[in-house]
Amino acid sequence: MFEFIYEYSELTQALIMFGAMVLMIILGLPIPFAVAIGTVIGYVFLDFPFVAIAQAMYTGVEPFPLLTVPLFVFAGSLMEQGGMARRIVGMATSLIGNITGSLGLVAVLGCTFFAALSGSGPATTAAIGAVMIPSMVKQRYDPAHGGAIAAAGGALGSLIPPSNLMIIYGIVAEQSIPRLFLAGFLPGVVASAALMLCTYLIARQRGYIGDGTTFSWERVYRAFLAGKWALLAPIIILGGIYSGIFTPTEAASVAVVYALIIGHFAYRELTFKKIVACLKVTAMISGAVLIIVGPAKAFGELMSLMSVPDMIGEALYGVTESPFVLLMIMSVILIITGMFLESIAQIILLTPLMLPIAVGLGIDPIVFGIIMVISCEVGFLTPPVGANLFVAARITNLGIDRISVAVIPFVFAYILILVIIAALPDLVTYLPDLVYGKLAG
Amino acid sequence: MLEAIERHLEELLAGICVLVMTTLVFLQVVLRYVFNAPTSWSDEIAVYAMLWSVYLSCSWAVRERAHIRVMNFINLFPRVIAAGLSVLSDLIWFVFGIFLTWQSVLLEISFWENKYESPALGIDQKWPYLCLVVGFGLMTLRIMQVYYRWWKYGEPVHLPRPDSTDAEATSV
Repeated sequence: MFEFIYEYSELTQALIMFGAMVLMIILGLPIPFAVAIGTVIGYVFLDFPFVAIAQAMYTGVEPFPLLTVPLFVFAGSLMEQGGMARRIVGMATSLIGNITGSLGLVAVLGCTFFAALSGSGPATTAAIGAVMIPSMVKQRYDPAHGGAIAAAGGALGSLIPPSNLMIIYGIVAEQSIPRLFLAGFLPGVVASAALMLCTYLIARQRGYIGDGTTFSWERVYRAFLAGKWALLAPIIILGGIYSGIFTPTEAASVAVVYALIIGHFAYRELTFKKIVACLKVTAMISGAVLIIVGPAKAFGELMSLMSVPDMIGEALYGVTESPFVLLMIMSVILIITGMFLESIAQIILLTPLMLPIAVGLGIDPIVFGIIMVISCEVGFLTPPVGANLFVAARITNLGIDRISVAVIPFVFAYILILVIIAALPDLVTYLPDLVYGKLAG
Repeated sequence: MLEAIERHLEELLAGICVLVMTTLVFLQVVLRYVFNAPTSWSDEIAVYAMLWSVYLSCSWAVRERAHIRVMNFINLFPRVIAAGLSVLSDLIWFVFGIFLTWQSVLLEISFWENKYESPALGIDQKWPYLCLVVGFGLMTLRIMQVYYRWWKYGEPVHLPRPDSTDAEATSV
């Protein structure tokens, strides 16, 4: 009866699939199931058996490296609950506590440090935000501004290694995860500097002052002594990966055990109850977030079968042949889709569509990966689906709307980083090329 | 008893799975560097634990209203229409849940009929694949439960339950 659907051109079929998915998202279906419905419609067109969707849901969660993500989520959660965030803030305060607008700067610097322990943007926002937002409010910062700083700084969690989003990208794009981690380092430092500059300018304009102390090496020494276990964590995690001792997955499990030991025995803040709560958070993220992997991968594969990447590629190559302009166009698309898609969904759905086009113009897949991750970070900061905004809103007890207005200057800082990387891709590839040598080809 | 099962079933099992996979991956590190005796079985079991934790939590997340969904668009409509659309979306989800459970059962049956063992450990694949049937089955029941409790106790459909376990999932 419905044989006529097989007559549709590939473009029409792909558009119907895509349209169905978007419609389901707009209707308010949980995103993984909206994507799965789009996939099933694709199966109808291609005359696949429906059981393929069950198979895809299983095989999507099957790759071993994916384990790294829940493990880093668990580790980050334990570090947050175990008192590492507070020590990190202590160190940041001792370094720059005396400067104008110091609390905001300390929050960004604290996020930068914590990002080297945690692979997650929202978790970094939660960890540093829980410590810094109350102190900023006490110093009569506008709470929305305080929340925005924590949300924007927290997004560094996904850029500075380790990074869960890079793990997902590495799996989808078949790129080396340690290489991606190294590639995120310099852009992460530049982004941190840009956020601090932004915070400083706003603080000067609004007259936020420092904490009244003067800088002293003794204070720095004491703060770093108190924070030594937190400082050691990135050395173990990243050092272990780069010296070849651990795979990233193993490093994540070591991070969990390290966080447990330090939080429970050294800092004595990690009670049994807190450990169970961390376990629950990790399990919940598996069920509500990681479940997208299977359907999104299947959806992407169908899009490739319908030669959608070729079609988009042809259209884009018609507009430009400059890698810079192409990366800018892609960034704009990614930022817009990032408003509505959860970041993992965005990476898995759009990488197979866009990466071949980028590679076609000679763009390094690692550079594209970093652009993808930063676009996802902008997605963390833009409503309606902005994970960091939700976390900051919960800590400040404000509505998403107020934080999302206050965060706008920082969103521009991230967009500036996107432009810088598109214009200067060496910023991304310098460190990995130095350590691992240039990629062949 | 029943109440405890209703409340903790998926949460407890998924938590155990997370614990198992963490332990196994760490065990692998210890075995390799401390005892110089690497194994391959731990990796495979760890992956099964991840699969089970994902699909059990998928059902649990219905109870906690933790699934990631965009309600902003339907909330642009007047309240009555928005409520109607949200019920419609849950209805589609529910029907799709039945469909997914059914397809998972078909897949499961195929593993019962044609035995397939994993190459490394020889584990019969019908056991790990069972997570789909259990996960989607429970998820579909949980969606029904949400509306049952709304009808019986007037509990709001889209807000966390008063006895929620308060585990927040935003993103990674």
